[in-house]
Amino acid sequence: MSVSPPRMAERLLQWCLRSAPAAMCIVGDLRQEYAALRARRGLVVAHLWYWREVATIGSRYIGRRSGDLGAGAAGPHARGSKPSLLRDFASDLRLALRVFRRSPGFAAAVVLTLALGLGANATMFDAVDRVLLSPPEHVQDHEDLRFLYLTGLGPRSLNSPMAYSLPDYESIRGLPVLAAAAAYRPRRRVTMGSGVDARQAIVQDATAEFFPLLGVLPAQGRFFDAEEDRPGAAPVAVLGYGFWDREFGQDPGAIGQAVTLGSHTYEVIGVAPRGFTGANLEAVDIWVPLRMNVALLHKRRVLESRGAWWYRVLVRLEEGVTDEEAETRMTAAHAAGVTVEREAGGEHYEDSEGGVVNAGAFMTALGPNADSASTITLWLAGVSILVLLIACANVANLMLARGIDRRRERAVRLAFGVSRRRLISQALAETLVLALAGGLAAILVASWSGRALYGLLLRGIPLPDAAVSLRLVGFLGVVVLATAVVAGVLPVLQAVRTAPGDVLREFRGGSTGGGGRARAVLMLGQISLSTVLLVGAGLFVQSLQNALDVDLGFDYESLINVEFERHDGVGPLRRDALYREALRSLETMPGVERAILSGSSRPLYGWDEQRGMRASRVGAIPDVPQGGPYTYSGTEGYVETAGLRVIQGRAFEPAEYASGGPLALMVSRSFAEGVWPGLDPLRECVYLREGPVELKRPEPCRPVVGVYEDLIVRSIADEGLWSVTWPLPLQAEDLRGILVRADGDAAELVEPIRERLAALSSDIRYVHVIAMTSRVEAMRGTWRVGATLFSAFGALALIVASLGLYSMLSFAVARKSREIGIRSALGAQRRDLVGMVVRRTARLLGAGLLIGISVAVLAGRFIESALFGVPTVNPTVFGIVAVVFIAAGLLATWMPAWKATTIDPVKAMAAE
Amino acid sequence: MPISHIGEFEQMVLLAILRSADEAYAPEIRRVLQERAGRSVSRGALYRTFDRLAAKGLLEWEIEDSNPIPERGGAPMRRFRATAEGRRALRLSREALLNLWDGIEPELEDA
Repeated sequence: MSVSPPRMAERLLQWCLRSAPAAMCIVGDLRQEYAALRARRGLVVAHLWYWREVATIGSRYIGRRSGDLGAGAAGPHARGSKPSLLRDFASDLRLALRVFRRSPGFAAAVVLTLALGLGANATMFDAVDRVLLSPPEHVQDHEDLRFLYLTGLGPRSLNSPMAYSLPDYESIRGLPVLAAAAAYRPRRRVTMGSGVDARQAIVQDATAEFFPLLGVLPAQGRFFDAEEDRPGAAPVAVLGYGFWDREFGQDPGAIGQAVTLGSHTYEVIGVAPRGFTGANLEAVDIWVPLRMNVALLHKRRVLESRGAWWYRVLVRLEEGVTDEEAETRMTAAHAAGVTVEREAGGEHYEDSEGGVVNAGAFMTALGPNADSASTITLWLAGVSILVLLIACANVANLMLARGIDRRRERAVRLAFGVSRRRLISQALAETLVLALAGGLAAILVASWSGRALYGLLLRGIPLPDAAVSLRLVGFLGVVVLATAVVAGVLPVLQAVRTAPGDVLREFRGGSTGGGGRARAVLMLGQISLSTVLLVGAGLFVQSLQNALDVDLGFDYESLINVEFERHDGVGPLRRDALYREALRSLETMPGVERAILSGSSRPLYGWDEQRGMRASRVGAIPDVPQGGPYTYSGTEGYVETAGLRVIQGRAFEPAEYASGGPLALMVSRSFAEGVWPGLDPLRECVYLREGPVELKRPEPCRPVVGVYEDLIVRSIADEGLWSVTWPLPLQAEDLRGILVRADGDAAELVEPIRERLAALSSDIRYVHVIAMTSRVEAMRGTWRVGATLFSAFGALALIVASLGLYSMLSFAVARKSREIGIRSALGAQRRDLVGMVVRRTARLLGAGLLIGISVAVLAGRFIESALFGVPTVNPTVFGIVAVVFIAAGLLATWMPAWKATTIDPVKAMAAE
Repeated sequence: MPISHIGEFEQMVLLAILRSADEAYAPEIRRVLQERAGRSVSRGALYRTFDRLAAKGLLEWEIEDSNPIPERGGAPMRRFRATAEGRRALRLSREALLNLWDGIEPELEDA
């Protein structure tokens, strides 16, 4: 790891020193000291130190020419040189630095506020920029790119981007309205290698047109061409840069080597450039030619089938062609293709005209198919702007207070004939210095919080190379300047508006000065906005709590799901035998409480729907919006292993699991209540019709022996899924997996199980082992993210607002010291003085909370859909927020109030 | 031509350079000032003082290749030397100060 100082800071220093003699020597000295400090005190301290040094050294050199070396102590005017605006300003900057060194508390408060507010904002801007605004890296001219969507296809909804078959694609791709087109299959996990060493790579199939369409160039070797992208061509692959780095250590010799994906071997012909992730943001390890690969992995007719809706299609519009024009042409070409297919007796599209082709924006977040990450990102952008507003209000407040404090000094200077222009310039310089320091600190905050954000919200999206992007710095620059100007304007206006005599007289009278109302309003704004954020945080935390409390209907904590990926050519009989062998192996494994074979894929969270079931009394089972009925089956001990909760009747008996034993079936609560309302389900039976097991015999009606609690297996918000469960004999065919119950922590058993089973047979390519807890955790993800981020921003807002409250009250006490002195001289008790300060806080807090909660109630409907079983008008949350705020308010009040009681009346009155 | 007046800090910097002898690089000079004179000096002020003293002809420097110190990332180093003029200026101000101090010490004993 390099120990060189922050690059941006060093560049800034070099720029400041551009006219200094032997500038590189100074740079070198600092490098050396930086390295020593970093070894001693760590990265953070060393970074902060370096930035501070750059600011102090830079400010001494900036705005001077190499000629005026002697000017140092005396200042530019003393030498009678022509006053230059820049030079004046540079000396103002130096003066400002000196002023802040004298009042470090004030400077620290402003810089800290800016760092937190701006830093949080910069992080969010970066996320919004990455997810919503910037195209994936290396993509050229993304404005002309369109994703195609098919709509109007009748019963089956194809309004998803993955709706194209290859024939659909071929029928539009040569159209003259398109400059280029490409199809690709979204990422798949494919097993590399076999047995114990097997691991998974993320593979994307893309047509040869894909790379030229995006305008990307290879980092090594070349991309595949049309000749390699046809059925039967020799398999080739292009590596992603990250994969090349991980697996080959960036060895150019990787070109020409072989990678084994599944049961096929591909020759590496090139490496994609660093950071390239295709048309989406998630990383891809390997690209392979689509037509070649689909023909290799599937039957060749899959390529020609209009039923294989597997692909996304991306096109680049010809110059000057409008979306409408292109859509009309593409829809016509699509319809023509469908007609040909129908006349040839094709099975698809018999019930529609083939649909309408729509061209959607390349930036999917702005298109009709925005994903949840982009929605969450948008909210958080809104939330972080609130934090920024709070921070700006706070800074304005502090500056205003300080401006009032220094009115007297300014008035004296005006009276001595210093020009108003100089005063304005100096006030601006002070603000600028603060804003700059705040901005730099914000970059530090942003580079740390950015990593946290990528870990939490943007999982699967590779971290950008630079922790802080140039765009981010630009964004911060603009915001910092805007804040500086806004926060600087108020004191400047104050400085020039007043006639010096008035100010001086006013001070002799000991008045508190103006601006009190403006500051109270700013403070009120901060408290209200923070309240809104805290209410949001409260709602999300409660949602998360509810999501955690949801009863999934079965005991998932120690469940593990095991599935095999077989090598090609390993038939179903061998697979079933392997599962039985694996079961025997697991039964003796330490840490395994029990294990059973499952006849449904992904036991307990699969999507095995069964249509055409019939029930006694009612006949065909009606369709319900939740889908289903879902079916589960397993060998002896299934009900106990899965942890189904029997609420009526009983679980299966051993005899019922045996082959040829008595028939039995269990149904979920909603199934029983929905199919036989008001009846006793234990007297009813169900025809499975197309059971995956017994197809050969005429279908018998299976008696219901028990009812279990509904399962929540797909999403936490699931309600009342209809499901049925039946017993399987150990010798059953068509086994789909193994369900394991651990007697301890399931997560710790995942790897041992994978290793044990991978070694079982060379027929197994990969063993998928998933702890049910990770599956459930994924279902709760949205609320966890929402709760974490809103809490973080809420806490930030609370800190900033408390800081503001504290500084405002301290200021008020300092300004009123004369009044307080008189009061205590007149015999006011400590209680009265404290009460005076506390009353002020109470008024502000009360009004702020009231406004904030009202706003929160109004804004609640925007996040309602994201909450889980939590009303947005929520007295509990409001109450907690009020208590938290009052506690923070008291904390902020305590110091100033205590200070008020210690004011010595004699000193206070003598001070004026 | 009379030697330009040198201020207290300039004197200290020149003395620190003489004291550091062969090791008179900026960080070392700063360390000497800190340890011997108890003055914590900002680097910016120190560098500007070097420039000023050089402009007055009281100080000069030699640029050295910094290859042996990898942390400098190839940046060169400056070794400072007081010029003959610089030494003379120091001597003159020392004499002036001693003349002024002469006979005053007892007065300060109680302070």
